[in-house]
Amino acid sequence: MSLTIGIAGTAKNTGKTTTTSAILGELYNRNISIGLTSIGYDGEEIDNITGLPKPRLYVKENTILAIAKKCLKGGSAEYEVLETTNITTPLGNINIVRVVKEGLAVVAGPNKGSQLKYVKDKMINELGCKIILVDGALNRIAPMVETDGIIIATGAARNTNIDVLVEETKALYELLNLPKVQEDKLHHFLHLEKIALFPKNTDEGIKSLRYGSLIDNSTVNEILTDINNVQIIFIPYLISELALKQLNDNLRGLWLDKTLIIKDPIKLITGGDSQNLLNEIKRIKENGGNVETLKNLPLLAITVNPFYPKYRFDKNSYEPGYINRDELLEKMQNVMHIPVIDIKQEGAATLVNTLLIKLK
Amino acid sequence: MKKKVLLAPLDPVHDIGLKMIKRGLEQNGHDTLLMPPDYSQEEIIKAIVDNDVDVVLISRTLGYGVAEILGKFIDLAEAAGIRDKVKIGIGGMAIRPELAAELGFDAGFGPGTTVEEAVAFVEGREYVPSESGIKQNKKDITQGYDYSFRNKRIEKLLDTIVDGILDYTSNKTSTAILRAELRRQILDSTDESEKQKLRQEYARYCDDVVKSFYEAGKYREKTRPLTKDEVKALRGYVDDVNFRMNPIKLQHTDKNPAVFIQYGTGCPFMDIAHIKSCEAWGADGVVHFDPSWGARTEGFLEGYITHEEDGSIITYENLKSIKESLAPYTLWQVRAHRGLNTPETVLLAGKIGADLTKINIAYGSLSGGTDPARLTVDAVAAIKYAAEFGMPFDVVTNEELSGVPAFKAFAGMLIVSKLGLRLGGKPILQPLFCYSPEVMINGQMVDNYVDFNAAKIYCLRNIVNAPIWCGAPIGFLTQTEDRVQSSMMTALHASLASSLGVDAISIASSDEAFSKGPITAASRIDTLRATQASFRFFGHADITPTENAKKWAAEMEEGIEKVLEAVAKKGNFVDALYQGLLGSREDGAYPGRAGRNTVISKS
Repeated sequence: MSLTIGIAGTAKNTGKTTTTSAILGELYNRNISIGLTSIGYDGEEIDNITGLPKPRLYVKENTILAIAKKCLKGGSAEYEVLETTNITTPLGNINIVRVVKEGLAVVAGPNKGSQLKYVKDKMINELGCKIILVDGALNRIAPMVETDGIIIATGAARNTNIDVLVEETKALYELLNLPKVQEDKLHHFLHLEKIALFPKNTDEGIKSLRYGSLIDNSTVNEILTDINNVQIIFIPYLISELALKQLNDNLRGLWLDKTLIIKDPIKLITGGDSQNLLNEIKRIKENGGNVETLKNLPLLAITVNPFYPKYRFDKNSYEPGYINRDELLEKMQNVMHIPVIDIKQEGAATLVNTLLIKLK
Repeated sequence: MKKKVLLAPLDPVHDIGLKMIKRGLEQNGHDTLLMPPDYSQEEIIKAIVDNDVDVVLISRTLGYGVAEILGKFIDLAEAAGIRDKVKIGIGGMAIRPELAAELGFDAGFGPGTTVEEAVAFVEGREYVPSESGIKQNKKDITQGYDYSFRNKRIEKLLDTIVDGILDYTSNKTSTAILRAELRRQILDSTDESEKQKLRQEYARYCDDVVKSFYEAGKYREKTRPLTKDEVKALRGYVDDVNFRMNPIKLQHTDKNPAVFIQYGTGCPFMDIAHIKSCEAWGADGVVHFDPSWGARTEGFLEGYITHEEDGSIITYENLKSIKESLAPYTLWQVRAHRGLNTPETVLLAGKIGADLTKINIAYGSLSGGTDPARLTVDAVAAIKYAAEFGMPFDVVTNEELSGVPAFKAFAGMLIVSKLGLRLGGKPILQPLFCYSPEVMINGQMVDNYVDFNAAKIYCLRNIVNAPIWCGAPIGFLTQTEDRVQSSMMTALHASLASSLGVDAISIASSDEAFSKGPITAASRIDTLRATQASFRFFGHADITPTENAKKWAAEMEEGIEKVLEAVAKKGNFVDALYQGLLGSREDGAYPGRAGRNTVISKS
């Protein structure tokens, strides 16, 4: 049994690196074999000579990493290269390595979902990793579809208005936890690459459209043709916020007893603003329709950070600013049924306990 | 194989780069589709699907929110199921390969990207940059010069003076010369007990502070040995940086001079970090600065030693660690132009494999603080070492900064150069490109900084066919605390030097005179980048001085001849130095006192 966990931050300074470091540390304490990679990397601090980011994650011996060639000499950790893959990135091919001397690491890994799947499978099946951490950012969330769940780091650096922060995090939570299609019905959809309209009358054939994504007015119009006979609209790829709104504007009450099925929540989240998307989902439901997903990508936990860099106009510089930590935690916890943790204060013990329950 | 390429500006306005690449792709037989600016991300995604393209090239010029917008685009492509079918590259002023990796692109093209580079990406080939952009070989600054004198009268005067110097020094020696000979024996010996004996003898010729090092293992204040771990870490650092470094080239045309920087933070570690930074940003050569007290102290220490103040201590080990950190194409100069250890400095530099050294009796004894008689005797021995190791040496004229007029400083420089030639050396003339006290008083730079600097080069070219290395550093005293202004001044002086066809220049950092401590790496990069940009700007185009340049060059040449006549008439170069013929007390030059009355008669 293994677990692949994505960690995403909603903005810089929301504590993504702190979260990843804390989880790493806690997993080391419990002697769990770890795989670590990233989709892209957090390049805030840049080395003068090389333009490479400064290393920020401390890795211990025997950790398995999937990192680009240029990262091999980027930190103080030393590695044994187990495999140089064919996966290319602008920082060189991805290498799967074992840490032979602990130290700081620069972690820039593969950046496509298919590539992430390759290194993940390798780490689990051949290298015995129990938990794989995938470091990411919210503006690079698509490859996270290959994980078993994600942890989101958010906080004052994203927005200093606690209510707004809670609302948008809740929207994300709800989108990521959309109900799943029944297992026995999955096989109808798995092979489909284009938008498919399933008729009410099962004797009639499935209508396959030109595109796999709901992306603009023309794809919306294709769906609208003969919509009365449709029971299920299956969209295997991207659903853009604007196109979904157009579809809703046209369908309204026609959603009654119809189901929109998407491949996974990421196809929705990448399409626009989470709150707006959630509103559109709610509109479908209000009109008697349903929304389901083939694959779930559960939000496992939320880490919050009350800190933000506060700009001082009079000094033309930043100083540490904080929003009310207790209020932030309480309001988040009230609406979310998953752990909400101030990782800097509380550490990662509770978080890792949650993960280990999943693992079992 | 023919590719179908979609080029899309993810930008409200800019698409010029894409138009250039489109043309290049078409010339290489590929099909292209260029989308107009200001289309939405979704529209671009749809165009990729509609046209079933193989490669997408996105351009984004605006820097605001670039990471969010581009990361989002890649996510859209992946969510739309096209990421595995289509290669996606990103180009723009704010783009670097690292940013492209962070955002999930297959390649990133920043400023300076060539069309050929983008074509190689489309075709799935490795891009091999043209050789003109890669640093390869060390430049020999002296190549192509025969040192023939065009001004025969000056040559004759110089020969007379040099005869006098050689005659004067023929039966003289100094503790510095004896130490250099002992150092050579220490380095050549493989027998540790013999080395110890030689060290004891060496210590006899040293000042007390150095003696106590050899006799009691004591270090001078504000110095300490590097620990074994520090030395090891230093080597690790160099290996690490070399592995990651991809140096740029400063020169845009063959005409552009080699560019030197100066280092001497006191700490060998910091020196090497500065050297590597400068190499990465295109410096062709580096110049070692030793501590000012080192010039007034008889004898050198041994081992890896760090120093809390400016100037990096000369020891065999320190120099060797610097040498081992250098890229193979980096020119390395160890200065020996002043002070009480000149012969040994040149010996160490030669033994370790330095490319260049620096020797000037006139500057060293008039502004460098060393006694003229002592430095004359030492310099002859030093030049002989330079000749033995095949190290060219520059003859710097920094006494101009003390107030000595250029014609007098040049007379001193030519004397030492001729002495160098006679002893089998390869001198390099080093006129200052500076805003000197002379021009401040006489007004030659009231209108511009071009004419008087140009006059110096014209004058020297009229006299002798020899290499010229403008120093040291160029634009000295035109810099201010403003780093942009300082970088600009450096770049303009560099381009003037280039326009005048000189062989090398030394540049300062943009905070060299104002850092209030060690200079910063970023300020070094300021002036290197500015110089590169300036070389690019002018290319083969020249800067045209006014008529004043030629007029002042002629006056300077006349002045030099008069000085040389006076020195030759005096009959003794050392006396001429004492009496101010090559720079007087009124000018601001004072014969140095370090090592006075220490010349030893061989008889």
